[in-house]
Amino acid sequence: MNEETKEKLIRAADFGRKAIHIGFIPLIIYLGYKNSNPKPSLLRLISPLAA
Amino acid sequence: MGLFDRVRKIRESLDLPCPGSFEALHREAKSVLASPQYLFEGAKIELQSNLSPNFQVTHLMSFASQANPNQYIFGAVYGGPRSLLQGQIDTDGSLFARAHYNWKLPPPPPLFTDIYEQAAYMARPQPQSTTKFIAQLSTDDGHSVINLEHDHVGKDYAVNVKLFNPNIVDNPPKYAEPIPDNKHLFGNSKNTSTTGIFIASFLKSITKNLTVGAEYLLQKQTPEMEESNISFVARYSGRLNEHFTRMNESVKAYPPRPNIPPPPPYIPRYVLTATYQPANGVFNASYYYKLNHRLEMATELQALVNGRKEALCSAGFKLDTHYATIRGIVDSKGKIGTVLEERLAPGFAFTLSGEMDYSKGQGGVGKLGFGFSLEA
Repeated sequence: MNEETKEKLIRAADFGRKAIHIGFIPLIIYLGYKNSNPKPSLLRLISPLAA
Repeated sequence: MGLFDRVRKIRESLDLPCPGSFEALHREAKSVLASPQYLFEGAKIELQSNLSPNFQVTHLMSFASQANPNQYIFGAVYGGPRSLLQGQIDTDGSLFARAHYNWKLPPPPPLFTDIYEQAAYMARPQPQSTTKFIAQLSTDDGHSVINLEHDHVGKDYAVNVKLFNPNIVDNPPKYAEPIPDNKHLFGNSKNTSTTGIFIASFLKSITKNLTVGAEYLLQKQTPEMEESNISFVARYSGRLNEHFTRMNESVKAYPPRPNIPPPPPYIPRYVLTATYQPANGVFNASYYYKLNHRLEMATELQALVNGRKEALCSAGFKLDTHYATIRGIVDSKGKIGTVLEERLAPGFAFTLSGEMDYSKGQGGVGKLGFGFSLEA
């Protein structure tokens, strides 16, 4: 394999790992919020007692 | 009629049950004995908010423990019709991520008039085909684990393939590194190698009660080292059908009392599972028995059969009463533990955990924990 391609693959894997690390929880919250009907209050993310 | 059709006809006429997945072979005993999951030290507060039926957020705070530093964990779960996304992040910045996608939706469950029959149906594993991505990412790269997995459970068999930290562009092994100036000498050697841990397993129901299977593990964590291992498994589970009907009839004979939830349906079973790895002589056996509606018992034996002969045996129970769940475990190294989970009001529970290790210290080392959980 070409050294350059190898470098690129390693960098892509590192970037993917970082993207998951940062974006996974926001993605869950976004999907959960978008697909909830009725839309829950966002305060409930912090406390279960909020209305 | 072709041979294939005839084999299929014979297989269908045997009407073998679904074996469930390879990982879940010890599930019943583990649900009773998984003490580290329930036993904890210090104080714990858990808040769970159900934003909608398939979207939950949890906050877990644990502190006042001698062994572990204070910790806060934020978790979020979203379940779609085919997918499941679960994430947990703690104050050290390490993330646990899980994503499932089910390719084959289970058939809609038949309509049940009886909650006991329904529970018996729900307890049976169903055919499915799920791709899983599980990752444990920490802030320093060396400790991250990425796991790709496909789990295919058919009508009477199950296949599972797992890849841990697969890396196809790792450095070549040191003994086969290409020498730049001597290209003609090492013409075939590559500048990459594949590393990771690869696991494949197969399970098959042989009779209505017996399931057998095998798992192959190839470990190649560094380019220079390679190790493989095979393990065999057998699982025997029994159902006592007349007993089942009689027990449930006797419960149904009593009218439901106000404020007291009905007993959980009784699915009488005993399950015996044994796993053996001939290469390193690890033998693992577990036995699970559900005695009645509320009491489950399990024993487990982990033994090293060849070489250094060692064994650990543990036994435990799980008792569900109207407002509490009590678990107890004792093992052959002299460790005992109990967890009491008291449901004070709907969604509000108090947990008390105690553990004593008589093999350590002078007269034993104890651990005590208490926790509150609130769910709304």
